[in-house]
Amino acid sequence: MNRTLEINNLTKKYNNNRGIENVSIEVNQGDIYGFLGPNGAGKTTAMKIMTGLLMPDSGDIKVFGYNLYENYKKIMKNVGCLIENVDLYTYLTPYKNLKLAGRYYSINDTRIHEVLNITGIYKYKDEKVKNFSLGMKQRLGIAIAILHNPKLVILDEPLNGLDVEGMIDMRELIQKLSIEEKVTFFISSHLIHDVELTCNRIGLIYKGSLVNSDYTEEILKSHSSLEKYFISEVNYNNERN
Amino acid sequence: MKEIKITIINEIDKIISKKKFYILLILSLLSIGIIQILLYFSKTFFGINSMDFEGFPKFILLIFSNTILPLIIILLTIDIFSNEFNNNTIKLSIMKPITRFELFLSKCLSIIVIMSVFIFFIMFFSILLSLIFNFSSFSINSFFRIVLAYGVIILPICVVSLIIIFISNIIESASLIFFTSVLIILILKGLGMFLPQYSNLFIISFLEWYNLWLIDYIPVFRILRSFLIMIGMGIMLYSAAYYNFDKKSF
Repeated sequence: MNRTLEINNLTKKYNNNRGIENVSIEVNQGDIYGFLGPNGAGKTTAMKIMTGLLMPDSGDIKVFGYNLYENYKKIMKNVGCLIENVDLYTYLTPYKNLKLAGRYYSINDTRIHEVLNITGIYKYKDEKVKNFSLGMKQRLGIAIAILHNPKLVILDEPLNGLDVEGMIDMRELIQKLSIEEKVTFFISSHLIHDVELTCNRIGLIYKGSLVNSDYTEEILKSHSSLEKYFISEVNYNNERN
Repeated sequence: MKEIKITIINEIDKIISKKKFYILLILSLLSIGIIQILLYFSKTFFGINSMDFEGFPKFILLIFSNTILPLIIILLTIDIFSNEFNNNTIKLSIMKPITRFELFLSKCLSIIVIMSVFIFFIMFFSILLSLIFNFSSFSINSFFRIVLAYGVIILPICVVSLIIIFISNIIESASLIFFTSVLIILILKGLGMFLPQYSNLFIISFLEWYNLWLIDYIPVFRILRSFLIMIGMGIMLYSAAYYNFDKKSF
């Protein structure tokens, strides 16, 4: 099994002593890895470090077998990201936003129209993004992340603001890309039910530390739902502390 | 190299999508037209000596280099750096196959490219008006002297841009950057006027260095000295601004 992402002893502490500590994760090709944790657990911090937005205090990250910081350009050619809030050029249209991103990968208009269609915003392609709802912006953010057919897609709370239909669409899209094109997904979410339905592997982060990491199938053998698993792991962790 | 080119194209694309820069350009061209008309009427009705073909574009350059050009650099730099930091859209560029060094360099270069285009428009329009109103004093030599004056101002423009870029990378608020930049430019300008012997240290005075190139006997050593001071200051400002940009977390 090809290893797409390998995080070793990643530590980043902020001045308020929050952050992450000794987080180690391994994700294989084609996995849909759900990064689960309560607010402030360190999910976004870990993802920002994985995408070069933040430098860690210690630890290292390997993507496709290469060190992230030594081969950043090479790695990012095959990585698509949506981190924290969907930050877009709101004074531009979705088409223009995709065009700007697409230039780095020599993406043509056909592919831009294709992802606009896939994410369901084709009919709004010539409207200014500032008039978009949160859900539509989220769809555009996902369109930018998958525009260049990346091998690894890192999505931070991708379902924020999406309606039920949107959530189902995105789940199907993620699963389709994972199965058909062996795209690896690393997804953080606080929507436990959706993580359970979407991801085949789960990593649970709590108070900056990775509590457990296992296959969804294995977890559901011993727990009736991911929610029960989450509660049991967090309580166990609290008692231990 | 490819990524630098793409980022410059993207930055220019974003800037030309905003109306405010068109408005600034139109207002600048309008003000050139108004100045020319005022000069024409002052000559016609009051007999005040108007300017010759070379004098008018040089006069426009003198006014613009001390007023509108620094203002446009500030607005442009705020747009290309500060607004991207504050709106978090900088993340869209960082998470692309480009190093931070290349991204920073591309953003600086795009400011210089846009400013060069802006200066070209001012030069073209002022030459055109001068041709219409002062055709009698036209000469090829004057034409090339105007082009030279407008061409060499790009270097001090780069250095002033780097001052604002540096400020944009240490201050978060766009309005604070604007006022700090205006204040610094005014202070440097004032110091240059009151302490002319040290004006080389107050970089803003270099915005008028094109005058050195227009002297009949070109003062090679003065030009070389000014050139080296600007390059030195440029390198220092670029390094300091990049250091701050590279250390930023988004």
